[in-house]
Amino acid sequence: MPLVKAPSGAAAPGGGPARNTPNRDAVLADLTADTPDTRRAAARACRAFPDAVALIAKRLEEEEDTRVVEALVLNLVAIGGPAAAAALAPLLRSDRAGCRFAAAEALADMGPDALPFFDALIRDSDPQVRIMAAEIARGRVGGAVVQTLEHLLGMEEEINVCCAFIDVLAETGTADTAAVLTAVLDRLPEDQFLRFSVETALSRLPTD
Amino acid sequence: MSPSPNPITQGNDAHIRPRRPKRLLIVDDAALVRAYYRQALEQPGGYTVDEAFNGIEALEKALSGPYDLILVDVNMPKMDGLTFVRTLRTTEEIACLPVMMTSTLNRDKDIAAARAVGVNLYLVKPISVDDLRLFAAIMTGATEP
Repeated sequence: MPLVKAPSGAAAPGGGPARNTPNRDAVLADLTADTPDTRRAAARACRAFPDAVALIAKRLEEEEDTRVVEALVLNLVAIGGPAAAAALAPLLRSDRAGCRFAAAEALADMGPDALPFFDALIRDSDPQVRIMAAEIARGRVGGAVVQTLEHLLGMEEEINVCCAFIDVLAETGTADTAAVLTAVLDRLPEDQFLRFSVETALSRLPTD
Repeated sequence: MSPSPNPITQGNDAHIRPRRPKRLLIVDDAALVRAYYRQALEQPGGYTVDEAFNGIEALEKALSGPYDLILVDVNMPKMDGLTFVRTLRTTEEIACLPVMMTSTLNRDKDIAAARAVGVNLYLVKPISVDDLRLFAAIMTGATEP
C-alpha cells in the first residue's frame, strides 16, 4: 500500500499533534524565498496558520509571480473570516495591478465576511477603488449587492465607474435593473461607450 | 460559363495577393469592453479581431498569432496587463508586437509604469469609436477603416 502524505496542518489520528504540520517560522520565511516554487509551496502551507493573515496579505502586495499570488489568494479565501477580509480590503488600493485584482477576486469568493467591506469600498471617494469593488459583486446574482450597485449607479458621475457597474449588472441584474440602466443613459447620454454598455446590458438581462 | 479570372491573382500578376486584413487581439476581462472594441474595429474591410479574457490567455493566443496589434487592459484576473506586456517583451517570438494599453487608470505613475514594461501607446478609458479606429490604424500602419 503506498504511503500517502497527510495534507499540511492535518491533525494526527487520535487528536495528538499533527505529524506533518509545517514549521511556522520556516514557512513564513519561505514566503520571501528567491525561487517562485519555494514561495508558492510556502503560500500553500500558510493555510495552517490563520493567525498569519496580515503577513500573508502583506506578501500578496509584494509578490510578482502569478502562481504565487494565486496560491496566496486561495489560502486567504480558505482561511476566511473577518480578519482575512480586513487584510484584503486595503489591497484594492495597491499600486500593483495583479494585487488589486487578486484581492477583489478573493473578497468576491469570501461570502458574507466581505460584505461590510464591499459596502464601504463601493462608496469610496477614489473611482479606481469603486471600479475594483464592483468586481466583488461579480457572481452575486440578485439580492442586496445588486440593489446596492443599482442604487449607486443612479448617482454615479464617473463614466468608467458607471460602465464597471453596468458590466457586473449585465451578469447579475434582474428584470428590474433595466429601468436603472435606462435612467443612466438619460442622465449621461453623450458617451459612446456608456451607451453601448447600457444597450448591450439591456439585451442580456432577464426579461421576467 | 466559367467565372472570369481574378485580375489580381491570375496571369502575370499571379504573385500579387491582396494584403491580409490587419489582425488584432483584444485583451480585457470586461465582456462589454471586448464587445465595444470588436464592434468599433471589426468592420467590413477592417480588422480581424480575436479576444482574450486575461494575460495568460492572451500570451497563448499571441504565440499562435500572427497579430498586428494587441489592445490590452491593466486590471485583469490571473495575469494583469502590465505583467502580460512585460512577459511579451521577453518572449522572443512575440517581443516586437505593438501594444496599445487601455485603462481607467489616469495617473502619471500609471502611464509611466506602462511605458516601463514596453507599452507603445496608452489610452485612458472611455475611448470613442473614432479614437479607437484612428489609433489602431496608426499602430498597424493600416488605412483608417
